[in-house]
Amino acid sequence: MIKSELVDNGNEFDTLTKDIKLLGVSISDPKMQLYRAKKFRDYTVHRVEKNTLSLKRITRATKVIDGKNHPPEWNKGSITSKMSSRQNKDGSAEAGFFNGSELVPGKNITVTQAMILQHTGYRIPLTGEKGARVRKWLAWKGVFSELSPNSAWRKTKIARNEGWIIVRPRPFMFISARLYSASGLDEKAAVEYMRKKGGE
Amino acid sequence: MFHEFTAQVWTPSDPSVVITNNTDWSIDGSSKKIVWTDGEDEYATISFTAADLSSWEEISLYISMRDQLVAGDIFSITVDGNEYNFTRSEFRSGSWRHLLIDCSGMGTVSTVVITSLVANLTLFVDYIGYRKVTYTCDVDIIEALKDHINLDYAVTTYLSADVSAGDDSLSVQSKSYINDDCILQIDDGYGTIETVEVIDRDLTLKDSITNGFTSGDEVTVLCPVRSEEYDDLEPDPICGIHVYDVDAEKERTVQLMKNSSKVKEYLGSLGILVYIDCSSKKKLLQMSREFNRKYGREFEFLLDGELVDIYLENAVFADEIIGNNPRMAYYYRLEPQPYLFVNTVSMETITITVQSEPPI
Repeated sequence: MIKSELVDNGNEFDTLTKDIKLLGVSISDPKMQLYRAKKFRDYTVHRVEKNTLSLKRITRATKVIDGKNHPPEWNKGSITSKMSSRQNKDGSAEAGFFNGSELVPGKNITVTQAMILQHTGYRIPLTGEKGARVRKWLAWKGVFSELSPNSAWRKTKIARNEGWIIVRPRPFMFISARLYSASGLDEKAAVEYMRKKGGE
Repeated sequence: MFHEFTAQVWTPSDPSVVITNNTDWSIDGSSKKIVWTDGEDEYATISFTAADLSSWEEISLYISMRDQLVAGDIFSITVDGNEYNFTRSEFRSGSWRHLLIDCSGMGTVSTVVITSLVANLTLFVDYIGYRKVTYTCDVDIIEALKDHINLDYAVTTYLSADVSAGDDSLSVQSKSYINDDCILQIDDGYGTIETVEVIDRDLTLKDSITNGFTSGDEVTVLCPVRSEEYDDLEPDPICGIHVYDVDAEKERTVQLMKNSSKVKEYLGSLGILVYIDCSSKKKLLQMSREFNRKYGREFEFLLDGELVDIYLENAVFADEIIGNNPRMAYYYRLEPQPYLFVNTVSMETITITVQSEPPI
């Protein structure tokens, strides 16, 4: 009995020593940072696609203009799948990286710009000189309704007297980062990487 | 939720006790300075509109003390027949101490008395009231931020024609940087100030003006701070406050009072987005720099009777991309005041009766 316990303790000590050595090597390994970043990227894309980040619902204007109704806008959330990870020169890694010049399919706006607007929220004026051009375009799209505040119309159309198209902020990266960190998945990713590096 | 005692009247017990308003050293902009000179056992009485404190948690106030060499009790505070003594060691030089007194066992109170227990003493007292944390603690944060944030759009012009009460439009000398939807403040220079909402650049008013003003009166464009439940007019410029995330973590803490301690529970942090949105990029840049200097990475504001710190997590600038107004967005995170979990009151008298057992 005593012998058995001593042997077990010896194994635990060996494992601990091995893990500490591995930790020392892994912490300074840029690939570990990239591995963590990729894990976070996959988590974020998945949560957005499944609509489990409690994001603001898309506005009726966007629904009408685009015909889609899934946050965080356009293409049923799959726009976030364009998010990638990259290694920085200093060894750190970025999870929320988008290709700067890639356009959103069918739009004259880059994916990066679209993601920025999703995070900040935005509003487009419907009054004044600039607003007149927007109203003309919206009218062409058949978006305007007559004034009927309580009608079902308003769920899909914009009343003619509204001053703005307002899109509320949906900062999904920040919400996802908080949830990812709180759930311990980042630590899990680090341990996973160490285990893989250690050959287990 | 915090209520400052209303209609406060500060009365000295003797001419040797001098009470003055002080704006140099304050929590909310103005404090009371009380100076006792050879005034041991003299006091200052704060009278206010009676408040039933039985359904509230604690009296909250800030006190700052000038240096003292006295080792024992220096002053006392009397509320609802209870006297609380304070020593020098409870205060740090040159700083305010936030003081809490459990009031859940008190009744209706209309006075607080501060008595000097030494001959010479100088105290500063500020922001005295009563508070309770309820399930509206998140709304308390938004309201407190609305009260605290103040940005200067820095556009002023003058009325170019008289306006009468009931009129539906204005005319001004210059319309530079006056946008289609904006909030204007008109000041006649003699105490009449009115805020109006404008719905186009012809300066048509959303609601008729209620006061008359004359040509030459000052007109200032405001940048109002509004939360999500504003009305249908979204002014340009605007500083908006938007809740984007609610955390469901719970954490207990012990909060010390003068007469007790309470176990309280943080109910999770709030993700708060503060944005500045303006059709003029020039004005947006100007106000975002003002915001960064006055608030930015970390700032203090009054929340439920207490100065708290809030920290910036991220900031993002969105330029005009698809016809939108340029916008600067600041992302903060803050835990609301903790909710009461258990209230404990320290024992003042304990009686132990010892009885010998009868011999076997």
